[in-house]
Amino acid sequence: MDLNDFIKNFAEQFDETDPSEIRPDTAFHDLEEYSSLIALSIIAMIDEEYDVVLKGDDMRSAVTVEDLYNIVCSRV
Amino acid sequence: MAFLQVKNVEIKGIATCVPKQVKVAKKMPYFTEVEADNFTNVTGVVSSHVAPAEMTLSDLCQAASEKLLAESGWERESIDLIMFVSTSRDFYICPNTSNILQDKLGLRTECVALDLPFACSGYVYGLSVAGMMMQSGQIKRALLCVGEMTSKNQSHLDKTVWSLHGDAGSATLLEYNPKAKHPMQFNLGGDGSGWEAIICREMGVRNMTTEESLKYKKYEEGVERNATQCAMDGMSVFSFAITRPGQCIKGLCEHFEFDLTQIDFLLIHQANKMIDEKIRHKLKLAPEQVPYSMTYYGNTSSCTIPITMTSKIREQLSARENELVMCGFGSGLSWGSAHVFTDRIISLEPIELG
Repeated sequence: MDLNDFIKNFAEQFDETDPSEIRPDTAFHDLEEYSSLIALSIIAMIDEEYDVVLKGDDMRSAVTVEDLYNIVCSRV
Repeated sequence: MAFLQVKNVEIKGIATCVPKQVKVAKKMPYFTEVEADNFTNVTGVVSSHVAPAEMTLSDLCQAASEKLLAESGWERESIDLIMFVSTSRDFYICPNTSNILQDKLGLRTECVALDLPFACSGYVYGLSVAGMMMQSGQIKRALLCVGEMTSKNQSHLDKTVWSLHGDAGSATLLEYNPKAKHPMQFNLGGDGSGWEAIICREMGVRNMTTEESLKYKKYEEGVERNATQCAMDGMSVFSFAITRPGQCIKGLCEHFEFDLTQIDFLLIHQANKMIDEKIRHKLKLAPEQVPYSMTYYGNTSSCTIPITMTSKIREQLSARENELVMCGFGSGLSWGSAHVFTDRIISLEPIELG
């Protein structure tokens, strides 16, 4: 698994947020466009791309994009 | 995964009943303008039905049963089993609602009465349990009452559940027939580690209801409820729903060796449109194979499969043989799928009560 690919896939779930705003250390809950709907798109992307099923607590406990990446890595 | 095969039992008829009163999903004060606009696009729900204070689910099931018994011409004395599958029981602890229905419907006291407190997976479970009880032939006719009155245990101030759900009840006639052409086949499963994903936390004996339980608390903007009311962890439910049901259906096809692409209809629990479309895509089924009834009924929990049958494919069910796959999934976590054939069954237009 590659962090840059993950960030690219992650950024694709947003419509208005510029991809350059999504970095490993981005606290994604604070992004203006982030919503429960975007969270569901991210969960679906992770299921489709990495075959990993996240729980609500995984999304809530991850602070940065890299945190989420690490959770996915640990379950691949 | 548990696989079951039930021989000699057929579905003979189905009816559904909803309260007359309608709630329009987006016209709720808890939504921001953007949320209201997004809601129908994502969930597929425009409106649903909501019961008045004095109405219960057993009233809806009773009305559906009366109509179905009248249409079928079955004598009440011929019913050997009445099953009530729901968490919306008239009394949460006791007695069983199936006992109350047995009396109200004028069924014999020799009739077996059984409650199964399942939520969204309930129709498939009810069908499997009734089928297993009937297949040896001692019980020849059964009335399966399935549904939910979510408005009774949800907060009208909770945007995560209130607009999505609706109230509906159903009745299905099942009959023992040693000449039945096709068995009913099931794949049932559950994962209790997800017990908190959809929960009425202070209703029951683990956490007894206290005065404190009844006080409304605000969890976030647009999410207010008390501790007896249903709380849903939407993200956990979503990730469960886009994975397990699809696996359950694939397992059913592989075990019983049939081709999913050849079926007439997949009747999937109307969780919401976004979830159901993801499941449909994963299973590579055409849109016309997967009818959706959530538009004007919402997510009616265990009643979504009967509501889809009576509102979307009623004519097909009456006119010809159909090869169906059903799949329910929800609180528990619990899920199940069924492979069922029907042949020219009685299927009645949804009744409105009140």
